[in-house]
Amino acid sequence: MRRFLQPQNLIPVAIIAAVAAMVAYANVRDGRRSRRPYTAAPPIGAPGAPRTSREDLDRRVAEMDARLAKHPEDAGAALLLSDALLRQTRITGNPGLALRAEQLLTRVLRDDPGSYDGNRMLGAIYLSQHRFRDAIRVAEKNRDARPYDPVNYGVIGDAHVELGHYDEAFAAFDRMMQLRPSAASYARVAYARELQGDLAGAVEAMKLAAGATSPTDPEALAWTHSQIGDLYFQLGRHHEAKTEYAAASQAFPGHPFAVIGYAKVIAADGDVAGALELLRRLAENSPTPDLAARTGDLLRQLGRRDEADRQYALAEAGWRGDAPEPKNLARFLAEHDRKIPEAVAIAEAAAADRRDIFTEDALAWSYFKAGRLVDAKTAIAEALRTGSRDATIRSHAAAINGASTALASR
Amino acid sequence: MSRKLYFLALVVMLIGYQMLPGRASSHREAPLISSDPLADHTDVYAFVSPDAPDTVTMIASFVPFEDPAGGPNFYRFGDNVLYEIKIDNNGDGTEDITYQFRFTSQTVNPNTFLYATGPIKSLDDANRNLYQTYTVTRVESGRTVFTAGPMRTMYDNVGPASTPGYGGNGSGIYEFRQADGTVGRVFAGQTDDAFFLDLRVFDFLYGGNLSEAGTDSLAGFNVHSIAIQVPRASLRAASPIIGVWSTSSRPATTTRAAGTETTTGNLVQVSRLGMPLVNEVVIPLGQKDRWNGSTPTQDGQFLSYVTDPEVPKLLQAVYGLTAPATPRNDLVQVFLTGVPNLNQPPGVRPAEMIRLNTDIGPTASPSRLGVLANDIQGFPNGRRLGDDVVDITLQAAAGILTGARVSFLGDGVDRNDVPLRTTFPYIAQPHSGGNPWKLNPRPPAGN
Repeated sequence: MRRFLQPQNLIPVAIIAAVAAMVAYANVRDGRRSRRPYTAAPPIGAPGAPRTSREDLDRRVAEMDARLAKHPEDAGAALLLSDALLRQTRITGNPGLALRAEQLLTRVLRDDPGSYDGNRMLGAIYLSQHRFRDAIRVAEKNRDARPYDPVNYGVIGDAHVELGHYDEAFAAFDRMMQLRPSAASYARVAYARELQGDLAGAVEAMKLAAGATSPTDPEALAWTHSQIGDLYFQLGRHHEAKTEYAAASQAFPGHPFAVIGYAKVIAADGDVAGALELLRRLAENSPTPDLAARTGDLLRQLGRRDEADRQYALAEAGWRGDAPEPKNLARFLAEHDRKIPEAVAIAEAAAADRRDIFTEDALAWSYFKAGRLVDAKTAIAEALRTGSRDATIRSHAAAINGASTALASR
Repeated sequence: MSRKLYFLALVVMLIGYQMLPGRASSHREAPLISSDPLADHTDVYAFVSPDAPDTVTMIASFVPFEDPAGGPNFYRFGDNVLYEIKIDNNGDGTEDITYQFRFTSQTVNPNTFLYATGPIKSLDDANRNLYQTYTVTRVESGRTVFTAGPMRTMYDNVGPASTPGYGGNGSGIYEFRQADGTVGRVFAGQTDDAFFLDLRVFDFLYGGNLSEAGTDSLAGFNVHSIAIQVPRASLRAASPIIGVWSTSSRPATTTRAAGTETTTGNLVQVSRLGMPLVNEVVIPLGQKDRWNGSTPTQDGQFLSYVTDPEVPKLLQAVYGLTAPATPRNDLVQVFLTGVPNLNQPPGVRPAEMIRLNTDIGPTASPSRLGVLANDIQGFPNGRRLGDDVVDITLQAAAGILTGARVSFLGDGVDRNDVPLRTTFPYIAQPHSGGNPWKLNPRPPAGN
């Protein structure tokens, strides 16, 4: 090491420093003008970076935390940390991580409001927090700055999907794909097809996504294989579903989507006790209201009503705290015949903001349980407007339309 | 913190619950920024073969930072990626000849994820559980001329238990017959990453600690390479100078209708590479996506980044190294047209690609500084595996071709970490993965 600092090497070393600094400067021409420390490394999961295993994600978070402790102004470390935290959110379901990421981003953007990478990350964080209109606003600004960056169309499309603006969403996804076919764009096209009831087409696209996912990103591989598993389950192809969940677990042991998916299949095939055990183990590390509700349903199937009710209470309490996603609470209450007037109020408030088919479904079911059949019919028609074959929506529709037929024939 | 957030935090703390945003199949959690290493180029090489000077060898490498011990999700070529090596032999910027490579993953036993179910000793060893076959197609002006294959990729260098005697047990090389009756050779599989440079030249790490300058940042990594060797006569036209570049493409699918998901559908280019370092040094950050999807005939849109580059100006501002006067026609020649009397085709249209003069034969003692050391078989006339393109490009950017005294410029890394092979495919064989346990159920003998 020391030999490189000998006099005859000082000029080339200095030139390297200059070139490094200047090329880095050239590469951040769009905003940053600082002499502050800036950690530039590939995002986790990308070639040259650590993989997205559980341990590597924890390590990346710890490493960037340490850097920021020493240099709070290091925007590069803040961005890398935000990225890792958002990844962990998907595995743990912990919204505090996205909150932390937002705080980091706020600081980065306060120091450098034009930071392209910072604004791009902000769009992703807004999505994670269900601030969909904010996400669109930021992503459209970014899109105008760099029209060839496919990521912004992904953010715009994701937000529109959640708001129920499906034409705008699908157009954004198509644009994203035309700019660059990738795991990210294939997965979105797959979801668009699923929303329209084209499950076979969704499987095709999601398999392309799996094939386009980096081998250094086991968390994304697990996520993608779990999505394919979910689709196979909807198609009634249980054996293939289990194979996909096994592939997901092989890539990332204990990935929540893989565990929940696998448990769902074996429960449907009759092994309710086995499914319960899988969910119990998952809840030890990543308890969520969704998990509690599923556990409650399984317990009820086994006739263990008191335990089931305890799980339902936990689910309800958890969803009450889920301020950004009220429709989940409304749907849960309606499905389990709890506090129906409140379910209706919550669902109506949610639907005032978003017209996506799942919010419409929660609304429809709440109305139905409240005896408001006409309103239920209107809402469920909205929930079916994209042609979705979602089993819950379809069964709700069957019940609502069946009841209304019965009424009409009286 | 707002009251609402405080209450939220309190609830979370009390209940001990954390929230999963939505039900399992919520796509808004789909990755937004996905890297695609299987389709990403690392390097392209084109040179008159040193041991067969009637032929040209072209190599395209993919999968950056491929870790030799990369299991259990092993590296491979992409099944739905169309890999292409393109040749322009009349200087108009469009390809006249294209070699296409298509890969298909095969699994012997679908009930296991293992790469090998026992030691692999040959290309078609039954113990290769996960492997790929591929075809080679030659296209001329949009018309398919022939397809060869299927061949098998060379297996990965997993380690001494799974792949004993690697390199001694078969080379992965196939011969194929072209439509004009000539014979070509082809290889596809894992190789050493032949590029050598200190990446910190392009990556301003925290602290800028340069006491370790001169380290090959790519030492110890592998890549996946496609290598093809064909007679010069089957590539050139009137001029001996050919332009070479490589692309990779994936099929686009639409939201509204399920299509046929093969590589004959609507393909979108996702990666492109000809001359080295163009993406790193010439194309600014905000234009990289546009660059990756563009064709050489569109390179007029990037012309100003070559004629009026940033790097020399900044070198002048900080270190007083006089930046040569713009427009930098010398750099236009290096990157876009070829250098007159060396590798510039007659009537050339400026377009970024490697330009190789196939009439210039192999040098007896090649110099890593190529043309700058009067070794005219070397870079920027084509690109050989041993050419030190970082040093050559840095010196060219600083104006050495117009007389600037900048021959000291360099990154301190002058050669690859492992020696090249002397026969096709020339690029060194891959580093061993050391046989990670996950890839082989049986421990090595003696353990």
